[in-house]
Amino acid sequence: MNPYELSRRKFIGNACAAVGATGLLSALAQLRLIGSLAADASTSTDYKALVCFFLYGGNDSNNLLIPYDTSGYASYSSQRTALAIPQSTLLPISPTITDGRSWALHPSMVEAQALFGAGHLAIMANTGTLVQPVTLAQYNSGVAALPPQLFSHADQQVQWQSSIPDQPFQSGWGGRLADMVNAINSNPKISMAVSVAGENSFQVGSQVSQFAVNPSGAVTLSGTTGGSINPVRYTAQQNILTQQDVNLFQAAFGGATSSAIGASNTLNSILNSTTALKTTFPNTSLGTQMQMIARMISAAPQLGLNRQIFFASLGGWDLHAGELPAHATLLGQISQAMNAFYSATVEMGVANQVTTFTASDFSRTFNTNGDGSDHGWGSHHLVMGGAVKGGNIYGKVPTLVIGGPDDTGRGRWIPTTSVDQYAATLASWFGVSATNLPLVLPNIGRFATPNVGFLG
Amino acid sequence: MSRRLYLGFVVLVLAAVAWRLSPRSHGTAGLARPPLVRMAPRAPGPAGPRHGNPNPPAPADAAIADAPSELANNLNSPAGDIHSDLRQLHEIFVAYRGAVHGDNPVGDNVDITEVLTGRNALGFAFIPKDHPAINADGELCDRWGVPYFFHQLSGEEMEIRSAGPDHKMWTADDEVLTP
Repeated sequence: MNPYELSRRKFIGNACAAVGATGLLSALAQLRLIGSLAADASTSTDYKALVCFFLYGGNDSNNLLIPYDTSGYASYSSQRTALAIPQSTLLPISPTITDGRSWALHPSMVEAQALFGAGHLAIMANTGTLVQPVTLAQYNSGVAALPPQLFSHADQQVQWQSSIPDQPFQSGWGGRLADMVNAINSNPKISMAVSVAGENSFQVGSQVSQFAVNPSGAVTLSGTTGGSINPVRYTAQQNILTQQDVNLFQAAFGGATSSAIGASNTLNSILNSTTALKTTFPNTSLGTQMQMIARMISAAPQLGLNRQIFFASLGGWDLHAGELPAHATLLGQISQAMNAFYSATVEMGVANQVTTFTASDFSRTFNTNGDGSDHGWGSHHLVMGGAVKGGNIYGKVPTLVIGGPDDTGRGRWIPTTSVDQYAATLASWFGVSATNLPLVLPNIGRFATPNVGFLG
Repeated sequence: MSRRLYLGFVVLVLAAVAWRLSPRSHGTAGLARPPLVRMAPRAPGPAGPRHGNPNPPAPADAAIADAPSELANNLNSPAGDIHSDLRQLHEIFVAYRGAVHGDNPVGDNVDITEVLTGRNALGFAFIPKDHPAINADGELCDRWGVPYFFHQLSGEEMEIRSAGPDHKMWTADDEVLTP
């Protein structure tokens, strides 16, 4: 027999071996990647948490950070007209790095002004979704690659949370970050990615699932405790969910459901055993969310977590009408809730290990539509925590002139810092090496300065 | 099986293995948009200096269609009312998305009107450029002559707002179509 002649059996055997070898090598390649990521993880045994606070609807950050010097305010006032905040009510801040202009915060942000002054809060100026750096000339000439569906709520929310605006959504940058650092959590009892604001794109990853809780604790099944029937019902449910002789889909569904129920019970049990915080949180939507996050942080050692990523949110920012009073209320909520949360991290002794940052669809037009403002682009954001090099404005505040060098029309500023850079600065602090940064933020190489420098 | 076939099979397997082990780029292989054609800057319009339209420009070889579209025939017609106008505009957006296999145009009224009147990948005017509903600033107006407000909820959802008979936007008599 010709030694190179293959029988059908031999051919099938070789094919199976080839497929197996490919699979094995693929697995080895994955292991190599995991090893590379674990190198980041293995150097860190300390605790760190990131808190993403998303402002759904598009925050008008033109009234969060306001020009305070005479000429700057006059220009602001004349262009914002009905949306201008009276200068006498503004809360001045004194950033140590200055471009010669003076700035103030919205009058509702008293607590934020104090945090900024104490060096615990920084402002990241004019940040937004970008495919690559864009100049006004490129924008106007149509040669620039722009994020698709600029000014569309749903698209910009997803792009902010994925930080890959030029690709269909697959995962969020928080989810990819969790996938990368999850190895640090040696014995996690629940997911390191927790949302107190429901499902979101930010925490969608490949390996780490987002775990939703509500402001009062983990979501549990009703009718499973108390009385004589409820425990029996619970046991019966568990038996059904953990049946072995079912098809793969049923088994997967049963396993996931059973695991979620178990995790919820574990979390509530641990939360009930932790010492209550003395810090008082405001009784607002955001206040209760931040309080729950603080409780989760205090429970981190019992939960076996060295890294946690949280997601909170507040809606109502899409103020095309009635902007001034509603915006004041919302900014006040942020200021008070963030302040309480910072105090709680101080109380727990983890202020330097917890960083909170804001995100939003976009900012809004600098000019008014009469009673509000419309969808914009680049916006200013708040970053808070003990590790933050606070008391400063990072990035470049645009030239606040409609028709000026940063304006694409009506005061929609071209972002001078990308979401990628903002996220990369946070991810680097969280423990991701420069080498692995592109795995979390694939487009980061398109921007000259990956780390904007607001974290130590 | 001959030796040649056997070697070919081995090469195929090695190629598959090499492919699996080769370094991959992560999302930088290409942008979602095709390279855009450079266009000459536009002259300032009657409303003062205008900036770029955030929508992709029409390809250089796209012939701007002069064929009249019938989609907007009844827009602002005396036989209709604001509700029929809003429904008709909604249908125009549906037709646009279907025709270009894409999402709604974005931007201010003038940007969106520009796209619907021919500055799109097909060069097709879903609304004729000389439609009486378009004012001198290039904005699409309601039957009271006030520009519509196009609220971009998502790529497939465009909320359309008319200021209503009082001509004032964001008042109680506004008429709104939310898809």
